[in-house]
Amino acid sequence: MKKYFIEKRDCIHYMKYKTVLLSLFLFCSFTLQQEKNKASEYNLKAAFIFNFTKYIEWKTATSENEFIIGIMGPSPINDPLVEIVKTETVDNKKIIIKQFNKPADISFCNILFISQSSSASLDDILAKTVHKGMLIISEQEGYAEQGTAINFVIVNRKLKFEANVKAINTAGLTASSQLLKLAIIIK
Amino acid sequence: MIGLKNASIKQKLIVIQTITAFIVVLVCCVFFVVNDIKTFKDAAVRKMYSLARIVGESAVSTLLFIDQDAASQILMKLNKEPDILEAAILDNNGKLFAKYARTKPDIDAIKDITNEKEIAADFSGNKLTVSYKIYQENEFLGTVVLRAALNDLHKIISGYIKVAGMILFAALIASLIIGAFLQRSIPHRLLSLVSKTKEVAETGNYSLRVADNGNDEIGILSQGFNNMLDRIEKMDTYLKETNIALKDYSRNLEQSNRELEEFAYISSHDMKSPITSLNGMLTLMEQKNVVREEHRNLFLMAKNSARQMQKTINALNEIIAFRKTLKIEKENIDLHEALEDVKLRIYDSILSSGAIINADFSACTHVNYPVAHLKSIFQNLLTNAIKYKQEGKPPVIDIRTSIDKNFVVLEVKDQGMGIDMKMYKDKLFGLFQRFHTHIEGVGIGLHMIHSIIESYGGKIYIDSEVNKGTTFKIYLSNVPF
Repeated sequence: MKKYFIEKRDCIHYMKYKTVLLSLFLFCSFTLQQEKNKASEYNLKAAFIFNFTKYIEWKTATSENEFIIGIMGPSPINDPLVEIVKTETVDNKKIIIKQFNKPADISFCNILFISQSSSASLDDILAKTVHKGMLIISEQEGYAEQGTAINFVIVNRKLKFEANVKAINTAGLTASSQLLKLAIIIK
Repeated sequence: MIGLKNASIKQKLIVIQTITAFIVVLVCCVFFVVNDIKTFKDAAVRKMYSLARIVGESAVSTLLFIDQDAASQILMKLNKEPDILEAAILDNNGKLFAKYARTKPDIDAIKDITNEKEIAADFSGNKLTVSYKIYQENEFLGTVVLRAALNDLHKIISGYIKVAGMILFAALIASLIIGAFLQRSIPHRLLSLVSKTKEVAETGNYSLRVADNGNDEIGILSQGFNNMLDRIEKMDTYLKETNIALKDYSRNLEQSNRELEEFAYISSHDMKSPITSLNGMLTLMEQKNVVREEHRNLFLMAKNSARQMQKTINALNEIIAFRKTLKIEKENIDLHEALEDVKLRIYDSILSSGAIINADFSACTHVNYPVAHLKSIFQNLLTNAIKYKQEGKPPVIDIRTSIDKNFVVLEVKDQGMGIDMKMYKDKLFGLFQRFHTHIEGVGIGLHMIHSIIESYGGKIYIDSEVNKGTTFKIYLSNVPF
């Protein structure tokens, strides 16, 4: 009997241990998978942002020799963007990436990407960037309605984007119909 | 084609014309059909390529933003093109990005031809596959593949075949009509020439002419034919006229010949009694010794001349009498019997000369001839052979017969003194011609033989060598009448 108990206790112990281990493993693999998904998601987002440049009529007044992409708040998009920037240009202009942490820091950039993790209020950012020919891209639900030009969303596990035509036009930019055709239009 | 050899020129021309027209039209039709099919295919390729390009260009953004739904929607718009069976967009890794199929998808076929070249068009069966590679700023984004059925091609080909068949038929009819029409200008004229030729040959009427005034080869031929007829006609009339003149001439000749004969007969007959009486007188004068001794020589010469004259007149009478016997009835004569009869007649001279006569009638035993004349020929030849024998040798005479067509050839060969053919060839059968003056004779034998033979349409040949002998080859006409 004793033996049984011991065995049983051992067994329970073992089971517990195993469950913990298993759940740990599952958790780990899940987070890893999630990390991986996140990485591919941001790869896509970076590529999309670069591709947007082809379908936006940029203001000619911006006569600088650089095309600036700003990132508001820390974001995993940074690494893939840096990769793209190494080889690509926009209208033969070199692409520069700037990192902003609060709305007050924001200087002129052609594209401003507002990271999910940015804690700054959207209104502050929009107030800072309005009418300046800047394309505001966000990645949070409802942001397009609130006034960002383009907002990334996931529909049916696929990366899509919303376009706020009014916001784009207010910024003084024009989006190509080719682009708007693919976008979820927000009014 | 061998059957054509004996066909008339008319048929040949029509056949040649029809075949030529048929081949020309066929070649043209084939050329146009092939050309049009090619043009149609080229146009189809161009159209499909433009479509692929348009689709590709409008699919650029969908590829960039990986929007398969939007890409599918673009492809869906191809349903307005009934020819397109399938369409697909492949991404830059060759993976299927979006597709469209009118009926059931055949994506394997699409994948087969992708990644080959920038533009590719491929006909297999009646399906055309076109692919277009999408680039943006030198970056390869993907490929558009379109597959279309060329349904119209069948319709076009069958339509062309119908039209070509109709054209061929029309060309055949037209060439037959033209051939029949052309017949007036070539075969018809040739045929009229041919029928005229036949008519001339059949009727012998050289005054016929071909009515053809064309300037081509047939015209020249007709003209030549007419000219030839002109000359033949002239020649013909000339010959006829000459013939009439010749007949007159020969009638005149016969007439004068008869008169001459009459004259000769009368004169020789009338001279017969005076010369006989002259000779009688001369003999009487000799018997009565009225000639003086010193004139005796003169008298003998006169007497000799008178005798000579009498002999000549007798011979003349003989010939005239003989000529009257010419053209008497023929009969079937046994040559051997005739020869034996003649031998009896000249028995004396055969005996005295010791002549040897070898007769061989084995090749031909009988001949149709007047018996008197045949015997006359035998007698003259035998007498000649005996008379003109070689000195000191008995004459040997070989007689043979043979048959040559309508003639019985009588060959009489002696070994006598012969005749100098070079000298006397032309005079052999003349009257009073003598080649051996030292031997008595009057020179009428050969003349008589010749007259007989010629009067029955025969021939006589003499082959002779001096001191060797003579061979007479006599062609006796063996026709019964």
